[in-house]
Amino acid sequence: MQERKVEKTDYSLSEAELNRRREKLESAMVQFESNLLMDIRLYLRKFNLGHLSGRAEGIWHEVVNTALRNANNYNPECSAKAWLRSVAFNAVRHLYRDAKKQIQTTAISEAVRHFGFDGDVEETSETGLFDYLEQKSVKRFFKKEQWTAEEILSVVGEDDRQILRLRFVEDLSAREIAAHFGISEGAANVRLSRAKSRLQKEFQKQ
Amino acid sequence: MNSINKQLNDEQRELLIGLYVEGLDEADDGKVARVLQFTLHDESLDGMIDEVNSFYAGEANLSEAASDARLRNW
Repeated sequence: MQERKVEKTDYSLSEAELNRRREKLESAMVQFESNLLMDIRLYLRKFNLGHLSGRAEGIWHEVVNTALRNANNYNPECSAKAWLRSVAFNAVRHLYRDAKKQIQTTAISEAVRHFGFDGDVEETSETGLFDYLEQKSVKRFFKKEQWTAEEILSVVGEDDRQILRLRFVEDLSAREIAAHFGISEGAANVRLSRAKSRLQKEFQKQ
Repeated sequence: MNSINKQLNDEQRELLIGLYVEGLDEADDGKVARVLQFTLHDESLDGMIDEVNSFYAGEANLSEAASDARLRNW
């Protein structure tokens, strides 16, 4: 039987290049530690692992060690902070999967199945992903001639109606919507996304 | 894992943020992981994710900078 080759280190990288990548990662670790710790706590909470929030700092130390050990896999053209966040998310994701005893890449959400999309979001090509997201987007409702915008908006509550009207009737961006309400852009994006989901669900019922 | 080759436009970022919020609200790790792949090459999207995470942190009282927590019922 042929022996399986297990090789995780990219030996083609020079020591100097590896050190350059580690330095870039270390700098981001120092600069963004508190943000990334907050992200870890958030991911733990959103993935029903809130009871592990006391372990957030331990997870962060694991992220630091993992990232430095695998610095050869880090593309220095990419944002170091974004890469570290992905490593942090993966750490939480492993805990989540352990908790759920899920098998990697087999989970396809109900929403995806509903729209007849037969692939996993994570494994889909970039083009396929955007085709799917555009097809699913509530924007298509507003393009159909048989409904007026107000008829479409009438299926959701007043708060959702207000923000959806700003986005799809008045064509404001999330930043402009945030300024309109005096809230952060993040809040506007979350509120808009939730309103779109509720509109989508109401249309599915009909 | 798919590689990300091109610069995103505003509409694509909006779609991805929607997918990210959906992923967090539904605890769908595949959706969140997919969106995070795009942040590696798109600084604007990465900044938008920062904003969204700050909002969620405020919503969950994870950070003292919870200035948007008053919006938790939205």
